[in-house]
Amino acid sequence: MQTLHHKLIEQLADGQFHSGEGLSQKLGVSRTRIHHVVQSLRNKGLPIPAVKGKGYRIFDGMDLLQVETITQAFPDLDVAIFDSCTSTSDYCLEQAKEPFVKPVLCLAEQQTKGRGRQARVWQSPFAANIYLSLLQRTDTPLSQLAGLTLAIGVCIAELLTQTGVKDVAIKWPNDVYVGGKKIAGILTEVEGDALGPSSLVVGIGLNVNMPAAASQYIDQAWTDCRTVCPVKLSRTQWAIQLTRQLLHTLEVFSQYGLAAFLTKWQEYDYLQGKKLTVVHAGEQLNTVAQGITEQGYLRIKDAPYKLLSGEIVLL
Amino acid sequence: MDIRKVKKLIELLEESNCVELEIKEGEESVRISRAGSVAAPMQAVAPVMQAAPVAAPVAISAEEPVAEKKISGHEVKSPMVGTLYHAASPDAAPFVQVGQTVKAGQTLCLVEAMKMFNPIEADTAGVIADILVTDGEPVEYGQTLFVIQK
Repeated sequence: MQTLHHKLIEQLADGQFHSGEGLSQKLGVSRTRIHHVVQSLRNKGLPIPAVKGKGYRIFDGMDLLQVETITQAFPDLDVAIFDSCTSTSDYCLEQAKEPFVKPVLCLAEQQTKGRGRQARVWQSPFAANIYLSLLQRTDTPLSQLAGLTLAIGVCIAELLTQTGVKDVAIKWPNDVYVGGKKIAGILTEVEGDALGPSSLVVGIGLNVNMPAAASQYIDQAWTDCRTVCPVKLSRTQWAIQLTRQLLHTLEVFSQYGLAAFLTKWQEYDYLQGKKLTVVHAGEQLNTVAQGITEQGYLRIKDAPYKLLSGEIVLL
Repeated sequence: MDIRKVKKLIELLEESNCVELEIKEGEESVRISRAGSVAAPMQAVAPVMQAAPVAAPVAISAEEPVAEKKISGHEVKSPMVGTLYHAASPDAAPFVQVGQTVKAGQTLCLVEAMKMFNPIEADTAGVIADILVTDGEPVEYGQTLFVIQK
């Protein structure tokens, strides 16, 4: 994966000026080639201005993922780290078609088609946040698997709380909020038979250092780790800690199911007692959230059903 | 628990070798058993119990003719409880339509439960003869979603 693009990004990550001449010598290619690569990185959305007489620079530098550090931290996983990919979950879903050897961890500096529920765009600017997916085989029957999404919400909420973040909450089923603003989103995809085994792909987007340029496209209140976390962790550290916590969560869930996470989930319940509008089976209902059931369904006031999925808008 | 679901369960029991079937879902539960499985063919539907305030034991005859016309063929069923979507997003075109030829492994729809998405794939090649669930509708475990004619 040590392409010329990647080598050039590594050079520029320090935030210093680099002349075309110097880069050309260091990387052993012509200045014209350097110019072309810089241009293609700019086309991918990297802000690389050139200043006459000084050279190229990425202002403030970049917090790149340390590929070796992450790979060595997880010898039991098949680790794939990309400069750019459509979506880390797309990669894992592709891998799911291959014979299973070991779980796959995929990270990317940038996603060109980062997605959320119902194919909504998940802003994934270069070297800014965590875009992580994990492919795992599971023997848990599909009918009992859905509760896992709530457990993963707890996983991220706990990680943030342990790192000193205050006012962490989970909006049903598993969006993670800090101070009423969204910091992480989870999209889980599963393929397989009703009775298992099945392939499970957990995709997590965690805002670490969201640049203003990308944030203007986000259509809801958001925050990031840089803003709310009292300790400064690199993206590499976030990636490693998040993966550890996620693997632990999957392990506990496979043994004990959602039951092991219900109490914690309730402590983080963002919607409890709040007025909201739900859209369910094409009908709109103004109601009040009343916690969750043992299966993780949302209880809502005066409704003949418990909610399994649907749009929720706070009033 | 609605009556269609109970009916589904009865059918499930009929098809299997099981003598008794009990399903719990939140506060509701239902138990269906083949009582004297000797003579009376499939009158064997024993008390259906419901936790709902109204429900006294109800007996249902499984022999009732199915009201709606049924298109025969290979049935694709839902592997889980959830909400069905015919397209990847509200603006996107549906994955398949009636009359369309599909390959085995082709995505027919998505079923979502609590932001867990399960793409339902055609387990056989053929032509989509019937689509039984509309977009955004809740589906049950084992409910027929599509009929494919080979």
